[in-house]
Amino acid sequence: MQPKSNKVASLLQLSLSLKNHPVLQDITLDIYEGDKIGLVGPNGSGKTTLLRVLAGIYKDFSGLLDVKINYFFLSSPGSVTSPHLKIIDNIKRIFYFYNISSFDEKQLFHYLEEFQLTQYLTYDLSELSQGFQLRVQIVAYLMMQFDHALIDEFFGFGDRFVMEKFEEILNTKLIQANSLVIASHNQQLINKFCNRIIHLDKGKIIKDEQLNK
Amino acid sequence: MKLLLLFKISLQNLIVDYHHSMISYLWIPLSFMILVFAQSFFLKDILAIDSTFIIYLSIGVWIWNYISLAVTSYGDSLFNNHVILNMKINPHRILHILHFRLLITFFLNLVILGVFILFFTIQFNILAFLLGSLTLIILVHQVGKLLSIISLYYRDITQLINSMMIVLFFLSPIIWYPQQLSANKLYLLQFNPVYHILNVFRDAIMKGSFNKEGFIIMTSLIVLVLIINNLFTNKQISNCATKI
Repeated sequence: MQPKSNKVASLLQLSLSLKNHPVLQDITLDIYEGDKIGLVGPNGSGKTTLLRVLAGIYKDFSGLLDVKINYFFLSSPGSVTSPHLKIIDNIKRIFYFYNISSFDEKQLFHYLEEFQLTQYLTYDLSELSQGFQLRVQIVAYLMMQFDHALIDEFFGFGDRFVMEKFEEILNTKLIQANSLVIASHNQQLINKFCNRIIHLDKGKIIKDEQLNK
Repeated sequence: MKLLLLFKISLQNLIVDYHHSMISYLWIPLSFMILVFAQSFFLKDILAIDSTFIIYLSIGVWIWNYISLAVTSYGDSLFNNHVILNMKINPHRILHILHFRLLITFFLNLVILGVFILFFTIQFNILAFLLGSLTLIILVHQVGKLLSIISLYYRDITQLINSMMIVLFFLSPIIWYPQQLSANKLYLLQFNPVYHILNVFRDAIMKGSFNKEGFIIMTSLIVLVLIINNLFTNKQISNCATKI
């Protein structure tokens, strides 16, 4: 086990209610540089909410939160894309919302080819299957640079090819990432990328497990 | 580069609304033209007025279209995009797209208005017109930001505003002349900001003059809303995801 280095985020007795319903209760957690955390737990256990708190989206909580880094938040960009726009236009749209003003076109086409999307460039997004729409979103995310990431699993309905490709390419990105928190039901994925697993249930941390990697 | 991308995305947003239409977003100026011609054709007889009515009316409809579309669109803008707001995306980006989209509509209709100006205007003060347009665009954007956050916190406000816009349409001299009001009601127009905005543009286009009073009122409104936005709105917009 690696020794703990710099603390990048800490939560102290943090609780959050949404529409008077408690979704996070008394969360105390320290995140260190090099931590690759997997958030696991049943639906409604507070995984996504915790990610959103770390991302700075939810701010009306009680308790203390100190995040020293700027997390990049990856969740399903489906709501940012437009079904009546072409693949490239949709990728540019995602970039706009994520404040990315310039990108490497060569790299983009490399990823589009890798995900077998080049033959569909003249298609509207709505004309592609759900799996191919997901590929477009994954390509957009792969084009982005980040040191610290929060990932809300959004690639659940990808086929084996997508999953393998995504893991293969993310592998480089995630290994390089200084700090990572990923919420997922995919145990295989968690085991592959994470060195720490936090189990959540009903908005509470029930187990914080360090993996020997 | 960023502005170009923003413009492209805003235009795409507009085009998507006219998906499968043969002339796409060109329906915007076409609808404006049809509306002005139809209203002018009938109202000219009803109100028994002269031939300059078409230009008077087209300025009114042009400004009203922009204001009413902005008010209704800004009201729902943040609420309708709540999924995006949960993705650590700056909510101002949503408002910027809407702002550009409204600007495109504003300028598309201006093309038609330009044709009317060419045919019917004798005097045209371009400086007053450009200054008026710039002031109106800033005012609408700032008021829109304020409305977007108020409507997000109090959802009934959107319905209230929509109803009030109908009332405001009839209370503003868009399709009628202020002179047609009785003297004891005329002073009420002074409290209607739309009246002053219309005066700025009608004076610039139809009289070639600079309506000082209108400009002062518009600028004062901008200053007031800017103060409110800097003290309250901008921070609330940045933190709005939890509220939805």
